Amino acid sequence: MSIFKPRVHLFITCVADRLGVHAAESTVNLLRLYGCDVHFSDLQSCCGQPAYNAGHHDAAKQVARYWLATYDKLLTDANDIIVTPSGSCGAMLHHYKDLLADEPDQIAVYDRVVPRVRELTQFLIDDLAVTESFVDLGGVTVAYHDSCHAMRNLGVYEQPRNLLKLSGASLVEWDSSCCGFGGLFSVKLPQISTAMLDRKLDSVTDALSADFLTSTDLGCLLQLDGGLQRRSTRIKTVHIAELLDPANRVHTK
Amino acid sequence: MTPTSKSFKDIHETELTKFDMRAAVLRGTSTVDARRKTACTELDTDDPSGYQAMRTRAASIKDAVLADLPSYLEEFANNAEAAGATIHFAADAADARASIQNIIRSKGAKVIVKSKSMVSEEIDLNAALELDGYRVIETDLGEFILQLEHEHPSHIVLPAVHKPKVEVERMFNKLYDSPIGASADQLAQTARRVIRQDFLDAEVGISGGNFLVADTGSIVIVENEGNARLTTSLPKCHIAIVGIEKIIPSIDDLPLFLNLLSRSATGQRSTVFVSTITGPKTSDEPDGPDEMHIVLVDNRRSTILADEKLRPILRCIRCAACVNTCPVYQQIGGHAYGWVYSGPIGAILDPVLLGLENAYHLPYASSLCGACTEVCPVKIPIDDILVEHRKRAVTASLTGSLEAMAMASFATVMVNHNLYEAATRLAAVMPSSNGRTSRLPLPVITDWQSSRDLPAIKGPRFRDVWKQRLAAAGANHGA
Repeated sequence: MSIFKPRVHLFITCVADRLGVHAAESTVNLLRLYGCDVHFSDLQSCCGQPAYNAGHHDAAKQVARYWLATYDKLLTDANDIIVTPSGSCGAMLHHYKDLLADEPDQIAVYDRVVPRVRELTQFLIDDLAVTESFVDLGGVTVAYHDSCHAMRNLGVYEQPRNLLKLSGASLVEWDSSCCGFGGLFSVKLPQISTAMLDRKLDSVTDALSADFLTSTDLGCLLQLDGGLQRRSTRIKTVHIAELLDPANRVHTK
Repeated sequence: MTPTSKSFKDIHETELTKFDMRAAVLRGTSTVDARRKTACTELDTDDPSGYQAMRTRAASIKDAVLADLPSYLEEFANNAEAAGATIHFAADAADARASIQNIIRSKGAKVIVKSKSMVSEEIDLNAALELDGYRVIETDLGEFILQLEHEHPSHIVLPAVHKPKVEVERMFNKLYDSPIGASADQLAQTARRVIRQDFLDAEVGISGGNFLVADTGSIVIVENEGNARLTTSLPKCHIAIVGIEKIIPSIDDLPLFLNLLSRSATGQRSTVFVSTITGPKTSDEPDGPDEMHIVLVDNRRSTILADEKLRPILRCIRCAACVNTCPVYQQIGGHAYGWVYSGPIGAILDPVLLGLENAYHLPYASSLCGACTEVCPVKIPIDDILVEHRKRAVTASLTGSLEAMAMASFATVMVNHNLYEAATRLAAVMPSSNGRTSRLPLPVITDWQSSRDLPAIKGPRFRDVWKQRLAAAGANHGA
């Protein structure tokens, strides 16, 4: 790690703001442990993905413009970085380019801002090149779930795995299919969504006997935990930031 | 077949209750998907001829064809006619059926053998020919099985993937005295024995076509059973029905496309048979049909061609890699989609071929996981096109005013700081039943909770925690 102290602006996401407070707090802790100067603006809200995915692009454009304006003001130094604990919301930002293609002013902002966005694990491994962990997860087994958007749209695959390995955790690989969340998909077509979830949870009993189930994305975790709560299993569902943060109470067994 | 895609919401729920079907679909598609992965990974090297480069090259060749489709079609038609074939252009399904019916009538045929063709399903050919009094025999094993049961294919490459094998054993036992517990190979042998005489009796053979080669006027058919080769060579008259998008510029492009198609479709390095057919039998050839007709079917493909956002759909080479890898298809099977093309490719193609108002549910039958786009050998941005159709469904007011209002409110809240603050604070005071799970009187919540728990929405928001503790801690930390 360099002695330079990276200035990080959080994009915490509306989901984490309301439903993932522990994950969000651990994101802050973790970034500070790795030497970042962490900033949070309470003007932020959502990336607009629910409207975008559902095809309501006028609504999505409104949110996209607001997001761009908010972060454009925050980035005052050429080295400023935006970090988000969500691969899916991070991936959504890249859709702004098509969404706002007819608005050159917005595209100019997009080109200034969006290339500076990193998913949390991507930032720690690719930008900070971290080589140490602040938790000792020796003897702990962890099933890692790939968020489709983190994996396919952002290329996040090795980074979370590397962080878990640095902590000493034993990784359990399992069925790589989608968990069936898909945002509105999970309530528009709940039976298909649940069938996908059950397939995932049925696929590897090894994974379910692990100590923790983790991922880069709270949406997937909401879905997976929602199903696990109705099964008798000892596995705990936590965001990867919580697992890697020594201050998180998830470690006090 | 009459499209039922408009009733997707009801039909897919029924399909989900067919557990034997679902098990067969999941097993069949997962097996083929794993084989595809192995076969494609084998080529996935960094060098410029590797798998990813092949995809890019195939996509750009297809795009070049689509940018100038009329002249490629003309070139193909001229070369095919020079080789002795007769070309028929069909603007729509009725046109295509009429062309084929005219040819068959002129032959005085009674028996017609067919090899696999999804376009023939698209134009409802069999029903029309049977109404005319012909015996039409599907000779692909999967299609043969389905024809016996008056069913339609549920998959573009594995038509009977939804059928548990034991059902086929029972059916063949009843009809052909084949033993219960017969192996797949034994079942195929039985079908062969039954179909063999039909091949000898048929006056007309109808096939599809995987590629139309512009610079030679050839049609190319890939298969594993040999039935397409017999269909195109035994009867005196061969009719090929092919969509106009199947053009590739040159025979030199064929190896690339064959390589991608066989690996993507079945995980084979090459299919067992590849037939390149250029015109009917010539005077110095002992075998082959006396006549060859090629029916080039548009049927709304030019609508796709004229639409920049949808145009990449026409790159499709019908390998079904997207279908096999789709976690939604794997659960509901192909019949849930209600028409000929199912899975991700069906969800982007059917809304154009049937009209968006008749198929707008299909693009929503996806979690947008992107697995389809990742495996597509011609790099069709399938998930983007799913979203594009959703956008058009919204614009056409197909998705209801309640949803439109909800989304407008969502945006209003998200771009207004005070409203966001109020809404997220309000969400915290909604009742929760046991302190652990949420209970909100909203349809989205009850639909979710029908099968999953939702954690209670309570306590401070992150922004409160930040203000209370984290911001100050950071200041100390920084000092």
